Amino acid sequence: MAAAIFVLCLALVSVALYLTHTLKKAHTQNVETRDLKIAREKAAKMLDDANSQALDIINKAKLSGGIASENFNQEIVRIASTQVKEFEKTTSEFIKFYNQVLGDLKTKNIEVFQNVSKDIETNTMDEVKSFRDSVEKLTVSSQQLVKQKIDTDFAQVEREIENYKAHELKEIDDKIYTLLEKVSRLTLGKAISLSEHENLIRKSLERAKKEGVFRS
Amino acid sequence: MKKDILIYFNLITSLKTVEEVNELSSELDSLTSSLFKSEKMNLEEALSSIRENSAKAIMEIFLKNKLDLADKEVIQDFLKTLKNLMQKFKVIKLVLAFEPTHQTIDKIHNYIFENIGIGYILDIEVDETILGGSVVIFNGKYKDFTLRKILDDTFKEKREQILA
Repeated sequence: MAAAIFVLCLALVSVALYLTHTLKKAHTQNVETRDLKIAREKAAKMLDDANSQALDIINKAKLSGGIASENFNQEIVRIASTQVKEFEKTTSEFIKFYNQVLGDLKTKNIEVFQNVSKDIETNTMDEVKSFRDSVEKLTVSSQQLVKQKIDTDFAQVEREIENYKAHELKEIDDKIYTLLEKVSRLTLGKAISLSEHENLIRKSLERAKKEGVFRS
Repeated sequence: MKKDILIYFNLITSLKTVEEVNELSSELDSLTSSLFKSEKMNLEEALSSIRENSAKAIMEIFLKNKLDLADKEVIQDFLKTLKNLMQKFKVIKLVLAFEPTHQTIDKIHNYIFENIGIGYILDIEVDETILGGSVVIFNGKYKDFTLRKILDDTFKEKREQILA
């Protein structure tokens, strides 16, 4: 619209310049012919026509500008409305899609979590079972080792006790024999008289004879 | 012959131990050696080289049985027979707890003579640890009749009771 106004203005200025030039030319010739008045009248008429036309154009332009502006506004409103509708639709779809994706993700995540939970449970159970088996094995192994150690130690201690017992008994025997020998020598040796010794010898010879020692 | 052996009886039976037999045996060897070293040597002179008891016992046999003291052949035969008889002794080994006196040896020998027979001599060993009684060893047989053995046996049998 600005361009139209500009064109009209340019046209008015051109007409004005032409008229000015013509008037100037008529004025300078001063003695012109009778047509000069007519020309003057024509020029005035042309100027009025031009003015009218310019006003008409301006009015038209104004009208056209108003219409265009209204249309533009309407279009804008329409477009905006359309855009809003489109945007709303898109938003709605997006929200719908987003919700769907979110729902899917949620479901998927729940599944994943459930699976993970299940996996964790399975793994944990396996770990616990493995740990229990290991502990059981270790316990059994430890028990066996302890039992073996106890058995070995017990046998060793038993042997040591037996050896100690045998050693002690031997010592007692030795000591007893020595003691008996000593006591007997001290008591019997002094107490036994020569005749008793001779009697013992005689008895031993009697027993030897009875047992057939002197038989050839 | 019987008479010949009997003339040795007293001398033989007077020998009671292995030691006595060995001593007499070596005296007889010495006597033989002295007698036949020189032709002039007679029995009486030769007997002076051995123990008085032994010399006396031999002289008694010669005088009692009227054997010729100058006849060296008789003397040699006598000594030889005596040695042969001495070799026939049977030895009874006794282990005693004390050193026996002559009287004890006599008693032991008499018991053997009366209860077992003649021709036995004693080989005596002393071991105080047997305490009393004796160990009798004869002809490869061994019998322990000592007090120590009796005590040992008693202790073995009744050890639990004694140690309780």
